[in-house]
Amino acid sequence: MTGQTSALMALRDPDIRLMLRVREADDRQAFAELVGRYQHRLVAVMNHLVGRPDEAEDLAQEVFLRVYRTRQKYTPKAKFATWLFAIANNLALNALRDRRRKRVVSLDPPDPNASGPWQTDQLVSDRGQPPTQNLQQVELAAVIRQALDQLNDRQRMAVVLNKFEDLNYAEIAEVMGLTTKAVKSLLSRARSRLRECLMPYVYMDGEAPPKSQADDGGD
Amino acid sequence: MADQPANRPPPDEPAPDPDADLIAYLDGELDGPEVQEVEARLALDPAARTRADSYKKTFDLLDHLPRPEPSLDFATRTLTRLLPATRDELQTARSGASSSRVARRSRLWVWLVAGGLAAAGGYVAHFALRPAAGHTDELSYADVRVIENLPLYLGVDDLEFLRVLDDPELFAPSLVTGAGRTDVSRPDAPPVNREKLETLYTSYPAARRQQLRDLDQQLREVPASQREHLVRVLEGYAVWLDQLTDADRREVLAAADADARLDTVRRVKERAWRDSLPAKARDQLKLVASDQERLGLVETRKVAEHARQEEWQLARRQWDDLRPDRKPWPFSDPDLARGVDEYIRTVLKVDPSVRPEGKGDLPAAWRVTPAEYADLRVRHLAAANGGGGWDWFSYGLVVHRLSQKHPYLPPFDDRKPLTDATTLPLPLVRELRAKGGLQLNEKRWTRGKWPEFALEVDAAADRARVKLAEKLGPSRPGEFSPAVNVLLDGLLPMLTPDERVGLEKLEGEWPEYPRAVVRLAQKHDLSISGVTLPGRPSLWTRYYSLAPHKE
Repeated sequence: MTGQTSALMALRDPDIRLMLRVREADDRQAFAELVGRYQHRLVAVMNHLVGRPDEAEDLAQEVFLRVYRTRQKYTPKAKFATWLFAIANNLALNALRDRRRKRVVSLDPPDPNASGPWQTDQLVSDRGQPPTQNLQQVELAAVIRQALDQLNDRQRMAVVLNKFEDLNYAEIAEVMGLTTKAVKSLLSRARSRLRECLMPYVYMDGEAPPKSQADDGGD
Repeated sequence: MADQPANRPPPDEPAPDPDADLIAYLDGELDGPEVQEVEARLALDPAARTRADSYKKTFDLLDHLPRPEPSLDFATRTLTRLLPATRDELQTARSGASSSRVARRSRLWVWLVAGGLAAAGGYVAHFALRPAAGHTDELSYADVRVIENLPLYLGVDDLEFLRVLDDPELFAPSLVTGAGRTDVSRPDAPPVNREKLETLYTSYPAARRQQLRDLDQQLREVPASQREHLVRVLEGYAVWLDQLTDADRREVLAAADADARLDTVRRVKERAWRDSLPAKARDQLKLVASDQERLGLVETRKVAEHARQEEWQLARRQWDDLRPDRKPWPFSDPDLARGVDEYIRTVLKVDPSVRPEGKGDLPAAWRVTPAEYADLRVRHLAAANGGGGWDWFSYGLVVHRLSQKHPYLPPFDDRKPLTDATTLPLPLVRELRAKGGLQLNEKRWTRGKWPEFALEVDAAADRARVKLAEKLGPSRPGEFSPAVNVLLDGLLPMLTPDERVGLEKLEGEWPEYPRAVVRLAQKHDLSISGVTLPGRPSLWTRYYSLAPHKE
């Protein structure tokens, strides 16, 4: 990558320009600006991945710190967001792997606002009762969270980037270090799994399931 | 990529998946022939259509997941963690700092030139449509000056156009980033770029060249401080033009006249702003059917964004002074810190350290809204529970903001403040009601609040032409509390003759007289105990307000 190309990329992406200021002059204002711009997206992505607000914030913070610590190595090769989410991907997958390895039993009561695998058994199972709209929303969110937890870590990451960050397959591939073809396959399997888990909830507003559903052979 | 993930997964080669193409089709990821293939399949296969529908609907369900926001102090905590490392690194990098600064400036120049040349295509195309007035072979000194600044003048029609760009919504430099700037010189253009600029300039029609010379001359005629400000507007505009796509830049530069160009600038900026929103917010805008509702959403989001930006700018202004182990002014002074607590309790009438009891209506005396109280309480708790400099700063910000939003007036010293209809004389209540001035028995926000209720009664009486037998609050020296009287004794000798005469004329007028006292105290940098925030008003403005101190 030539200096000229990176300068051209920097012209197109204001975030790259900020990051170059961080790299070249330790410009803390520029870094603060980047944190301000990306904190909402990063925390939200992390929360969808790990399911716990406190852990999501810790991870998002770690991503920003890593960005700052590795600033001297930064070379603009893609959009700044792609680089940022690549670091996020790396950290989140490590954290999830560590969590599985340790299987630490927390002494704290579960956060009622959080969602995650540990809350699976708290889901309301009796769907015969007409819930209030609010309860229905909470319950539905829990069900969706449960479905997301059925995916493996990489599938979940791909879905989150695709759904909530609007990244296309090529961008997801770049973030996750995969081929576009692999992302297509990853997302396809993830979407099939989500469909399996969530189909009972698709027509819960009283709309009748399509007649052909019974005939649907599935995949 | 510099920080390529270390745990790159093993190659994930896809197993045959019959629905992969179907899903990629729904995601808009297929090319022409593949699209046709999937569409043909959907046309012929009802089961595939059903599956496509269910893939879409189950994926849409994910929109029901809550999207948590980072906690209020997330950015503060993140940046505070950096401070020690940054200081160390700055120490070690000190020797190379000056050369790196020069390098950065040089690069900015290259960007401007490169962007300017790219942008020039649009202007050339635009002017090619007009009859060219001929070229001049010899360049005057005025031409040379224009050429040197051509990257900044591209896309600018005249000084009036530039002044319109000097708007916070467009390219006005922020108060903060401009505050510390002293070095305003720009590096010379490298000779090779100067030649290109000259070629570009001489290719313009005579009318455009004259327009640019006029602009340059007008800029030189404005006072130096204003000129520097306008040059920074030009820089902001030039850099913004650089960042645009070719199509957007062409749209701006090819506009028929200045008005059309401004419209285009605003439209492109608006579009960029919408594109920068999180995906969820963009979707929300798309889903809204009515234009009015969409405008409302945009406005709400912009207001919130503006508030966040303002806080950021203030925080950045004090970046170097804020430390995790040090409280900022006024909290660094124990007496003033106690004064702030006292102000919140006795003037704003809330206690952020205590959650209000019960679930019913909030206390009537509260002079802040429930949302403001929640914000105050969150920041108070963050600061009071071992918070660092940033937490105290954040707390100070909201306290200052509330003091500005809910200005207080001193009550009578020897009477209960007028806060609801039961404390008004009955004949006055009847008269007000009869003349339609104020329905005092209805549930009003101002009930229970001083001075809000009294101000409302005063305004209503004025509207209904009802004469008040008594003033609703203190309106001359001696009617205030001892603390305010002491302040007045100290203030009066500081007043100019005009101010003193003006104040004397207002004696006996409520709320004009106490308002004038508060305003003059502010102007002479005095705090009024029990009425305004403790400590010098100018310091509150300096640390906690972006607005310039107004006299």
